[in-house]
Amino acid sequence: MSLLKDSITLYNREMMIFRANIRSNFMRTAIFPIVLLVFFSFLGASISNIPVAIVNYANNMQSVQFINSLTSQSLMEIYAVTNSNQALQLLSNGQVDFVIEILPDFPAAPGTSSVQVYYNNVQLSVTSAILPAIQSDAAKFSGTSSVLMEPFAQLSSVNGNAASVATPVTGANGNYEDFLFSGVIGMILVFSALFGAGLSIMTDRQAGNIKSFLITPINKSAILLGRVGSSAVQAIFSIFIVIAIGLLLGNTIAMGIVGVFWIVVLGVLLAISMTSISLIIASRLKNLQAFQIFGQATALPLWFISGGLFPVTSFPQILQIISVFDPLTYAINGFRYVVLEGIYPLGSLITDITVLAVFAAVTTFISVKVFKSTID
Amino acid sequence: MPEHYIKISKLVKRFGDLVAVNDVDLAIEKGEIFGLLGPNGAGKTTIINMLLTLLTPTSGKIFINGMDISKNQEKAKQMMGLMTQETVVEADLTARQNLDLFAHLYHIPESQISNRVKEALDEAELQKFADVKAGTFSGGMQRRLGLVRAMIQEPPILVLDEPTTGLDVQNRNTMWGRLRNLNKEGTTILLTTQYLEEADELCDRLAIIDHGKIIALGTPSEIKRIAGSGKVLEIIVKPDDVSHVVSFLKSKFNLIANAKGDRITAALDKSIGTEFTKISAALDREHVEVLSIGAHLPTLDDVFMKLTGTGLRDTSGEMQGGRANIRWRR
Repeated sequence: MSLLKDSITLYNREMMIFRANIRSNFMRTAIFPIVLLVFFSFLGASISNIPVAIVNYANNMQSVQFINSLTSQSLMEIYAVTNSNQALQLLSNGQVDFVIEILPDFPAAPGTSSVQVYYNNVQLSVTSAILPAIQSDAAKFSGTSSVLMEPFAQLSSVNGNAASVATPVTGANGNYEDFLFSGVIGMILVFSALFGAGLSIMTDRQAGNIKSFLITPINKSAILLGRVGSSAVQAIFSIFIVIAIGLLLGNTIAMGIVGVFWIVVLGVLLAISMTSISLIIASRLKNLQAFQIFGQATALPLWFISGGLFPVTSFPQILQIISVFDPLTYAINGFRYVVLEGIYPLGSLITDITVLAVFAAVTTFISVKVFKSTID
Repeated sequence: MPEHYIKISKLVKRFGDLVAVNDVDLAIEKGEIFGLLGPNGAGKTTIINMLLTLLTPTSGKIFINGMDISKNQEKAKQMMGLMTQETVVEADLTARQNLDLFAHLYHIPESQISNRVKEALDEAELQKFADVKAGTFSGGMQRRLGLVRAMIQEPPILVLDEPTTGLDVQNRNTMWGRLRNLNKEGTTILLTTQYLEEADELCDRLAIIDHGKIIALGTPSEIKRIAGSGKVLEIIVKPDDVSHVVSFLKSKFNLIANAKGDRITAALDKSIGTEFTKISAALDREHVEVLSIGAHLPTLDDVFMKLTGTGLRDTSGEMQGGRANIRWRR
């Protein structure tokens, strides 16, 4: 009971300090998303020479014009292939990223579809650049805008009569900006929790503040728990800043307001884990520089292998295995469903939240143990 | 009924090979101002940390009012306020928030907190600055705030770890005044200091501590008498002449002189007028080049010189370094 009361007292202290420095806290949180989202998202825009295999079953003038038109763009590098099986083999081998099948009835009558596109949806930025290009060219030469698009991973029986354009599996707005957006939310949480909590407890210790708490009749763990609590609340503050910046820069959250709720749930759990890790490191080190180094060495790999910058599926096998043990992977996975796809499958939701909650509980427990054993 | 208010009995603290506190016995009476005097790293702060239950003694016991503090840590903490040299107000919080925070940490009932905080602000004469960030306060204001914050739960014992180190004369004098007032109101005060002057001014009794051992205990005048009842002669000569001058003083004037580098000190017992002139003239006749000669009232340095044969300031540096390393490893 007194542990809870003491923790709340020290939580209030942390929040008062946080509010006293609100301007610098805001700047610190805002600067990374601005830089990353404005600057790095341009990286996704320079797409050229994407390998594309074309199977031309129509073999008429319009189909040749269609192929020439695609070739003339620097966007794609076209490989002519004689049959569909061969093309799909190339696709599954990863030698090409797209297969365009021009069906015999090209150009089709209005309302029917005579172009079939298969693609792998690993590289979202590529998919989102190429598909519209194919679609507009097909419309130009076939007189109809109907192109059947099949993500290769979800290849189903092709319905030749389908009139509508298949929705890309990447969701409402599958571009790299949104992909990065979800990664940046995770990154901000990791960096601000990992550096914030540890550094503040180390400067508190150097200034003598910790000693002044320890001479009062409080439970020692309250110093730590108050800090973890305030970190969790500050994480919500960070999340809203990043989301606001993202929305201002034109990013979208496919799931809307419900998505923001899930981001907050995942984000708070993540922030608790990272704060605890930070406090474990800070309890063991006495030197601010050493802490910086340890912090970087922890935060950067966590972020890189989490799939924050690139999809985990594009990693080498060994990193994919390691990423399973990175709690940030689960948070980013959730953010990505929410931001990109607009649906959060129940199975993933349960896995993500369970893993993060267990991780948060374990790290907090360890940090309390470690902190108790260090004498100040 | 216990005979002593604070009783420290056979206290030992080791950090690895270093014995920071070596078999210390102390008794402090209720209502007394007691000083612990010694250079940096002598073990003063270690004793205080054990009293505050921040450190566990390697062996030995501390009693407050007959209560073993290791068994009643929370009660003991409620009975003591601490102000340190670097006290350490929360720079980002206002004076009021500072006091409010510690009122909560000391579990003062919610209904009394605002009253107690207001009282404390009045005591510190900070009413006008109650809602100003403490980080913007001057050194003197911060100490005042630190003092009332240390007393927020109105403890019967106030522990001060070098309370005036780094303060200017004016602020130091007002701080002394405040401490005397608190003492008059019944607070027992235990303070550590490096300055004999401070101990002399404030303390009813004091203990000199070096290398973790108490080497002298008594009232300030008793302690000062260790260095001699009169003034202290101080002569500075060229290093080559030092041993010659020491033996000269011994043979001609029967003075026991201590030499440290090029500095020679000796206690003068008689009235200095005649003796001082005689020594000066005698050295001149001996063709010793005297760079400086003078006499001053005994200082802690002189007491130290007398008791340990080394100067206070020379030991402090290396001891501090050694202790700092120990702290890292811990």
